[in-house]
Amino acid sequence: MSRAEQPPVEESYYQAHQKVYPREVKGRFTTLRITAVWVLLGLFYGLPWLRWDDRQAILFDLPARKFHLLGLTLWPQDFIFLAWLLVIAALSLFFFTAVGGRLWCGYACPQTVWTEVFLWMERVTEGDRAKRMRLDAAPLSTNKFLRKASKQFLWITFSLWTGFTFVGFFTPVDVLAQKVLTLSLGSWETFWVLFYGFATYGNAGFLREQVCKYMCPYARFQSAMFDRDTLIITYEAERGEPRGGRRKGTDPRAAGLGDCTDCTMCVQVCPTGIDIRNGLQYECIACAACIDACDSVMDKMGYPRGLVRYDTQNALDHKQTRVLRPRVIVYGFLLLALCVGFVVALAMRKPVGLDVLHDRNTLYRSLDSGEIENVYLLKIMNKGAEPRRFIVKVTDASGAASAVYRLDPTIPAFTVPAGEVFNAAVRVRKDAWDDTGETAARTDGVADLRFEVQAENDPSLRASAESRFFSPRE
Amino acid sequence: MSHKLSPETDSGTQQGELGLRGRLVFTVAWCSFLAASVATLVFFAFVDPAPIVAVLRPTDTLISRTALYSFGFFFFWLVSAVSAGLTASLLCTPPAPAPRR
Repeated sequence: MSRAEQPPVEESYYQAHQKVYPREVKGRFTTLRITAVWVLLGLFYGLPWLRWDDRQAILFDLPARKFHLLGLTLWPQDFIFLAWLLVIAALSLFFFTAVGGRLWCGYACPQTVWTEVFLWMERVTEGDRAKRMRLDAAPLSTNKFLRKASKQFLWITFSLWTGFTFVGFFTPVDVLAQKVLTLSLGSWETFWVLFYGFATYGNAGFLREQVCKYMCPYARFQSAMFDRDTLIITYEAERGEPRGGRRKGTDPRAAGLGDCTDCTMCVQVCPTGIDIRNGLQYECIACAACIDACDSVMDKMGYPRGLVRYDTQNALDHKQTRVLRPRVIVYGFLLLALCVGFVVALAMRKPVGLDVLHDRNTLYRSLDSGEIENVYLLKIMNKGAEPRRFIVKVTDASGAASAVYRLDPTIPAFTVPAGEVFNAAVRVRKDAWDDTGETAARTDGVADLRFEVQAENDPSLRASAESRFFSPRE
Repeated sequence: MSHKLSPETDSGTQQGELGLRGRLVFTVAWCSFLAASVATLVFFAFVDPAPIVAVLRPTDTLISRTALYSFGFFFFWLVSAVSAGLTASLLCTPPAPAPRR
């Protein structure tokens, strides 16, 4: 029978999912991961409470359209910095993936970090792996109900706290806490607390490794940054095979066995439920739990550690591993350039900003004195850390002093508090008969002009913006 | 080789686990969530919705920026979810059976 005549093979892209019950593990990398969990979650839950000069140190104040980052205040006009920062973050991810594999997944990804905490809560309430499996298989009893209920209680409480903290990055957290305590939370605040809490609960309690396996875009494209010199979690098949059980003290070589005792500990601890002995798989989030599990077994058997270990494909193939290679150099160079550029740009950022809006309701007004008046709204931004007094000037479009346009009052000055926008109404006048003047070149009664603000005590602090002056048509 | 992909043939084997349909829903929801987050960030960095709404609907009571941002986010999420969902559902349609020789 030729190939073409064979009945078509029915094939599903998706395998039926088995619930994974990860076993608890102890060891070097687990300690490292738990340290990362403490540090990262400590930052997340602690940062909103940090103060800086009478205000929250990190506050993304969306209603006021400004971001406070320690001593720095960023405005929508500074969007480039935020975008820049995101590019740096993405490139760091590329760089560290090329060098160290999926370090992000194993130690830093919120999915990993929160799942770790949720798993811990599950262990506290439902017991270890074997107990959890028995409990799930058992019929409903008071014991089962109490254990499941207390797990849900811990999960939901922790999720709500997470949602509250998340909103605390956008609304002053002390005000938010007071509102929660007095049950006077606004509807959108309540919504976002619940939404983020629900997302935490769903991702870390319910979906877990399925997020990494089915939903995570990074998990799919990270292999593009891999090469044969990237650190991966490997099983040394040469040393481990043929695997098999043996008594302690048996000489494996005499029994015709490799070092793998086939204890399946590496499979039991895996949060994504894979067998690392089958080689590198896309499901592997490089959490190194299997390394710790295998090392402890190797210790017990008196074999050297590292049957499962961090290593590169080249090392496994007995070739030289190169750390500095074009990919790493290019990523590293770009990253360095972007970081240096970011710091320089931030240091050179203009601490004053100006937006000009022409009055919406009236284009112009003819005054009794024979003058034409236009009204403008100036939005003066003081991005600096101290209050400043700014002087307003008006020039023609090229920036040269204008004899045609006059400000009223003659030299308006406004004091703008630190990190605030000041809305100042400014009137500009010109003589009606002077329509052939140096700047009123257009015949349709519209002329360009430019506003400039300058700090009173520091002339180098200045900003300008263009607008238009409307006159009656001839 | 034909691929058979239909939600009915593959539902989760255990309670609380996702079948194919569940995975599609969550994947579509998650990826469009990411896209909507970026769209919201970029859009509202350049556009301040408050004065626009104040001009368009001057008689209404003031809508807070938080509410406007939230509506914007859900709008972007809806649009990208519709796009991703349609793409996913079209990709999942099984091809016609192979012609007999």
